[in-house]
Amino acid sequence: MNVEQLLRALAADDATARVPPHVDAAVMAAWDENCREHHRRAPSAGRKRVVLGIAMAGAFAASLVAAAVVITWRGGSEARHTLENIAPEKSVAPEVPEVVAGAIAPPRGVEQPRAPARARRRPVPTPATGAAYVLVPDADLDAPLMMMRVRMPRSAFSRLGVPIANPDGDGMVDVEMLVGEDGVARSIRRATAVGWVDGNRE
Amino acid sequence: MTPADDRSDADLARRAAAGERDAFAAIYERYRGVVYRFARLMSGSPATAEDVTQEVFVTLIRALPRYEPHRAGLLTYLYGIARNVTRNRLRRDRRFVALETAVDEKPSGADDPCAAASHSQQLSQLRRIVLALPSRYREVVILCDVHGLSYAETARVLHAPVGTVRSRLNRGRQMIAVRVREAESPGHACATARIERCVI
Repeated sequence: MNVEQLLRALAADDATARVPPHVDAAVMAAWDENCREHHRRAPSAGRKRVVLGIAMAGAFAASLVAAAVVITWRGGSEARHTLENIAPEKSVAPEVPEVVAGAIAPPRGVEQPRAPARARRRPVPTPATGAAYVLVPDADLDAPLMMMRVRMPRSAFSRLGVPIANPDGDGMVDVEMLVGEDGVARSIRRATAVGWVDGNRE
Repeated sequence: MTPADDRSDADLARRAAAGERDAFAAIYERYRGVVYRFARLMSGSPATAEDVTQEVFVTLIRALPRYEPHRAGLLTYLYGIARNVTRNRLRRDRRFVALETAVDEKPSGADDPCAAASHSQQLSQLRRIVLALPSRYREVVILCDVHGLSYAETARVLHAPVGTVRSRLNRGRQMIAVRVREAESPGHACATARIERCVI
């Protein structure tokens, strides 16, 4: 008898083995016990769902409060950076008169675009001291602003409508611009010497 | 328990997971013998096989809600549980030798080498030889040659490549053949006395 025949005979003999009845009883008893335990756990599962629901409602309420706080904070932050809240600085150019938004007469022969109605409705208040900003046409004054200091040709500065000595002369002038987040300039003025870090001016 | 049930394994498993006692009873009736015989051949002890059978189905009761029929057939799944439970049990009990095995190996008139031609003695001897195989060969021989599983089914049970199953089966058969020849040789009494259950 070779190995395969022996193993086949072993398989045939093994097929006659039967599971003792007490094992059957033990397994089915385990099933019944598991079912009873499952039923006992069912109410606690319901309580878990209730607790989970309360927790989710609490989390939702907390998120609403957090959102309200953020909106309030952002509103205050934006208000601090609007045009009205930026303190003007005193000009160092004695020859340049104080300018007021909306009070600049355009140069002769130059067609000035009309500012939008909203810009006209909200002029920049004129401070008691220092140079005010000149509104750039179509400026949206509601957006947050930041101030940029740049150097530009004197003639270009003059064409914006800002009174300046020797408007057709050569050379550069230092100006300060209020620029919105979209990169569009909202207003412009002649820069002061205060805080200007430059080797030629300080 | 119904004597015969033509419902599919997946259907029975789904119903049992939903809490139907009859569905679980049908599963148990369908596969209890397979699990019991596998454990009995692997351990060489009917008492161990009973414990393993019980533990396998208790494990199935707890695992039924997580069982996914499309990933593995129920028989493959049960074989996998039975294999793990049996190996753990043998590892835990490696210091002990089952009483039945010790009695079988005790020289007696019924186990006389001169009467080795009888069928029952041959089978008894073969059981001991299979039991002496390392478990990685023993389980493959049992699954393929005794329980008639295909290479692919055995590979799924063992989580091993089909090539590994083939090589282990070939090696296991060779080891059995060598030991059968040794047992049939004139000095086989001493060889038989050395056979023990391999727990590795």
